[in-house]
Amino acid sequence: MRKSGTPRFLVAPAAFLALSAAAQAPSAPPAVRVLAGDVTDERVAATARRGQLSVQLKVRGDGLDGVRALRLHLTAARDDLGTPLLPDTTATPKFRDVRGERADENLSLRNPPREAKSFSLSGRVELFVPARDPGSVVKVPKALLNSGRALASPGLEAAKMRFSVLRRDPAVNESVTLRGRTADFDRLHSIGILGPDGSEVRVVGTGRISDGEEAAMTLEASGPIPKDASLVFTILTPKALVPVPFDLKDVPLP
Amino acid sequence: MTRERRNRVRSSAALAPALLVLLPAVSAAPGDSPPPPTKVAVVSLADVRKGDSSSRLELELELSDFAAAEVAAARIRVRRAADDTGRDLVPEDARKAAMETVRGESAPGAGETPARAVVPVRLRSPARRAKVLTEVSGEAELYLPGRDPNAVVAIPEIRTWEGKRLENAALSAAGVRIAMLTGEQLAAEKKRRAEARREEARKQGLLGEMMESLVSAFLGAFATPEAGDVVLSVEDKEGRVVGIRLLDAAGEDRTNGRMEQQGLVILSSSRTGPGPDWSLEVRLRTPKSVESRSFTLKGVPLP
Repeated sequence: MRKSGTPRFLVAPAAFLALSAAAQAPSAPPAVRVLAGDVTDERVAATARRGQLSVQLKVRGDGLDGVRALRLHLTAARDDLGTPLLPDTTATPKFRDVRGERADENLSLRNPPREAKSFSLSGRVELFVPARDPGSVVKVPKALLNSGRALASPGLEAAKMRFSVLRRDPAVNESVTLRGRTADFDRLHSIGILGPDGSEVRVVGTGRISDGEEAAMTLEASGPIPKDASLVFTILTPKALVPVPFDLKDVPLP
Repeated sequence: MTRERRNRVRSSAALAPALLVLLPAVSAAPGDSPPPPTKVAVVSLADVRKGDSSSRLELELELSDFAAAEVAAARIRVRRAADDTGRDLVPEDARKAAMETVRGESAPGAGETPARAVVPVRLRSPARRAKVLTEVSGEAELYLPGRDPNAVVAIPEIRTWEGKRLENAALSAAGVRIAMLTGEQLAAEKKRRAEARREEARKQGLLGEMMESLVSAFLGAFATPEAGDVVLSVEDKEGRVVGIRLLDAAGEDRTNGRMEQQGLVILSSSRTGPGPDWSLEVRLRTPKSVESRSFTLKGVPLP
């Protein structure tokens, strides 16, 4: 298996909160809206540095405490003269963890001409609310005891996901590596670890390598991982995703 | 007061690099002839537009008459700056501009052209509809310590001066008095200043809890050195000190933290403090080490 790009190192402490939220009845969708926050037009010349129009988007409203992550899909951005402001290349948006009642997202656009006075933006923010789908949080008890074989879990089966735990090196007991389809890993928000008493073994980082179809993800824990630890998969299921379209018109340019 | 080490600054006053200069700004008296001109070129320009008072126009100007290696610090006083809409871009605090360390360059290799000195200039934000800077002009006051042997004072074996006033003819000639304080001396100084603050509060009619909370706030903000720090009491009424740093035996700057507060300068290097062969270098502003040049830019396109 070869590395595909730089491994991703993520911290995913939200899984445990999500587990408790998922045990409750499916909640109403959050009543949120997207507002324009700070706008900075940084215009540069005579240097290798590139300028950009930075826009802060504020996601505000009730029910944000149930939102564990969000991602932004930007579909259009133009100034009042009609100049397109979307960057030439845009990476596939990724979910970013949300903490607390406020969620801000920053985006970078191309500089509008000096003659422009305002700009408009449209797109959607996708909220990940695990409480809206009990199937979005799957606990696999004693998952590490069956290394080398596919994890037997009705929850993973229902989500059409398949993972196996690779045999662990006894000398390295602060990490665990899972193998599975790349597409399945892409549908995960996070993987958490619980000790036999249900206490969290904090995941301090994850690294992923892929050869295209298949991938392996290593979870680095803050301490030793007990042999009989459980794994908690937090899955970005369609039912747990709430799209919030936005259309911001005539935002003044500074 | 919390302290940071290793290339970190420790107070807002220390935001400028190690050679921060707290010289009083001197404006040219009416009738003074302007200094000779120097050629300048814009090497970078950033119009940072935020819709609030933090918006600014930042330029970096290359001074073709000065090598980067010889300019240790510079103060730019902008006299005129305007865009093509007529907006005045001279910052409100232009007359109080501080001398700032200039980006250092190593000496050029054989056959290489020495890099030119580059100085930063900060202006107010131009109008959005502006297209050109019609004029940016002013004076660059450059600190060139290599031009005067008296501009750089070295006090060898600085550790041996703890608890004493530094005896040096060049410092005396410049009217600068520096003492290296022991922990006990600093504690006594702190007590003396707290008492002075209490007396001041008393004169203002503050009593009891109000007075004590004022004194307590003062003590809370008072500089607290860490192990190995060098604490200096600096008297410099004419603003001659440009910078102070700790050098090891090889002449390398080992200062990695600096704090200035009410005549006290605290220099950090390592937890064990300066080595036995380290020296203290004091850079002084002298007539021979400072050169002023005027500059004018016209018709600079805005990005």
